[in-house]
Amino acid sequence: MIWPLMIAAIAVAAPAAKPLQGNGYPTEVSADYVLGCMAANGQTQDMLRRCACSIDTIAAVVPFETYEQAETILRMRQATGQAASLFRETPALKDVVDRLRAAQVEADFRCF
Amino acid sequence: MRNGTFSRLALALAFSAATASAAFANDELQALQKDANQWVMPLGNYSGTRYSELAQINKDNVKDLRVAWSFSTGVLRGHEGGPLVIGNMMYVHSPFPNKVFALDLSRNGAIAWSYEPKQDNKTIAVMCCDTVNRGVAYADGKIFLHQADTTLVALDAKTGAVVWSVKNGDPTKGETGTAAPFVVGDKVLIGNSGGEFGVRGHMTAYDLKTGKLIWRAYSSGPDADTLIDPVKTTSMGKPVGKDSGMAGWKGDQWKLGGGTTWGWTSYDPKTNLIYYGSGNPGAWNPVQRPGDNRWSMSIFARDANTGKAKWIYQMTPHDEWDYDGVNEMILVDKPIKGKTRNLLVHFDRNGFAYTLDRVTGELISGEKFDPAVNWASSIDIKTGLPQRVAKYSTEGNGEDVVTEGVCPAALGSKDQQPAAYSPKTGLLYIPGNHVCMNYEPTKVAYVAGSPYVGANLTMFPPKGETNLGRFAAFDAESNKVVWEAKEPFSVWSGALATAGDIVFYGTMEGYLKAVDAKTGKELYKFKTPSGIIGNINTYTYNGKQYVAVLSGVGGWAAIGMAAGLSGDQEGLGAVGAYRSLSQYTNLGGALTVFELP
Repeated sequence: MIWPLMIAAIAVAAPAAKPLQGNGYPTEVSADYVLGCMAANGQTQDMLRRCACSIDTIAAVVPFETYEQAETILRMRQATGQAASLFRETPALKDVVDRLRAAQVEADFRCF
Repeated sequence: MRNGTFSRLALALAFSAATASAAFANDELQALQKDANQWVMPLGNYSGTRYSELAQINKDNVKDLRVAWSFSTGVLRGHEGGPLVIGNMMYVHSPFPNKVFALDLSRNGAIAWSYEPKQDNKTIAVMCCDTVNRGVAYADGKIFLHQADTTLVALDAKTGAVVWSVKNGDPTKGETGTAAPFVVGDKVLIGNSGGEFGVRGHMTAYDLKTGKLIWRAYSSGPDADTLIDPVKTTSMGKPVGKDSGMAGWKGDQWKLGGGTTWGWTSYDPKTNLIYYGSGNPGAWNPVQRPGDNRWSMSIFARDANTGKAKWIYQMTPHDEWDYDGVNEMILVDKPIKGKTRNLLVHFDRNGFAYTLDRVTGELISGEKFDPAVNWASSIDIKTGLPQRVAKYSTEGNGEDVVTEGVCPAALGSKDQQPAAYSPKTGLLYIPGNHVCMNYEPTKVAYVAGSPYVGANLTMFPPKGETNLGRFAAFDAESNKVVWEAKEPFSVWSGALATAGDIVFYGTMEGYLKAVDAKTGKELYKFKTPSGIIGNINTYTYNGKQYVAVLSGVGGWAAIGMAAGLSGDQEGLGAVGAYRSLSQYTNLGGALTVFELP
């Protein structure tokens, strides 16, 4: 029963993610975005194109460092308790997430 | 002090301390905790140093580190603690529902057995700070798991079969379990959690073989409950007097006294003393609980056999900010004013680094380890009392008044994530928060099993700064920060120092980082699948050194999911899309194991 959850990868010498496109975003991160985007919106060629357009637009608007921090904050907001409130209530962290949101709005406008 | 001569001396002293093991202690565990090839307890050894003699991975080759293998726990939420390694088996635990996996290192981490207890989901509702668990313990061929519902269970390390099981508390009253068990001699020690629910903290010893309760020592209450001797137990060198655990309270408030013991325990075989700290007093609102609130926010030294307290030191009497005293107690032998002393070093949530003589309880120093700390100006070495700054007193400012700009925030300058000590550099490595807060106490009534907090707070970085975290190297002799690495977010992962002249820690973004132990220079980083709030360990298998860390906190950030939804609502509504999304995101926490090529 627990087997389907396991990813007991064996001796894969995975190197650290490196940017491919020169926009500072590691390919792994862009792929994660596109896979999640397609999982939510549909597994079609059309959606592949739109989702790829979306992450490229975001990458053009915010540097990877901002994207990474916003991703961390959004993830931490799903945690519970006192510690997670740091990520919900801190104004400086809200600003980081707002920068990503603005980039996503721009991407929605251009790509969808 | 940081030259080679001292390093070798310190190393020799550390070894002599460990080899002078008394007859009391568990001989098997005594030997295992000295073997760098294994990682047999969460803090690495009884002294709580999180230091490894392994040096195959060192400051010159760590840049070549790569992933050897990884493993998913299948559980979302915060993964604190870290795996143990005994022989060719690795034991990995998860947050609630508190699964345990035994992975066979001789078969590339294949699962030898797994265990998942049945627990009432209602327990989750009374866990203040995520459904974390700080790890399992090993001894006597058994793995000990402290479940969220306070059940302590002994599993056969070979098969996972339940050997015995006991209940340590009542989750319907807010008592929960998050701390890792700690084995000394023929006893398993565990502390409890639930300080936000007005429960009474205690440390309890169970028989290793049967699970029978041997002793229980409360943090507050009459001497019979606290196992405090009015004459023999001392604090700041003086006998504590009769019923000291009731004296610092109004009426019978000690019954809701808090002082839970959810952190880490250390042990000195030479004196047979265990060391641990107690958490916040019941009700955060200080106006509601006049007095020193003994013995919340205190360091305890107790005899491992009887639980009797030898000495106690209360760091934050009458807490006004939730500065729990549960962080790890690091036992080191270092020269102070030319004389080698048996020390206990403790980095408290309140932002002060305390150094005490661990035999006598004498306070040697108490200095800020983060310059941002402002609630107190200093610690008076004669009285042991913090010199409080009036404008940051939440009680002085009163109920329903916001006290602004208190540093550190309630999370502390450092929380439970354990620091490391390298006898080679003589430095201590502190994973830290760099966060301040506005704090407003509010009136609250006690209802069993409900939060008994009574405070509103907001948090932010210190004025003029943007980083919420730091990783710092601290010299406990000079009480100086030697170097510091700024981090955008709080560092909530336990550190590891090795004889390879490197120190490892993890970040909230998910990076495992290796830095130069002497300078703090970043030598390597690798992004694991989620944020790291677990503790890093190292071990060898077949003569080769590995480094392992659990990552996992919160869920998947779902950034990609945001895309397009405004333009394609039917996409979200589709059952197929939901299923595919949940398959994609439900990866859970991950253990990542690193090696050199």
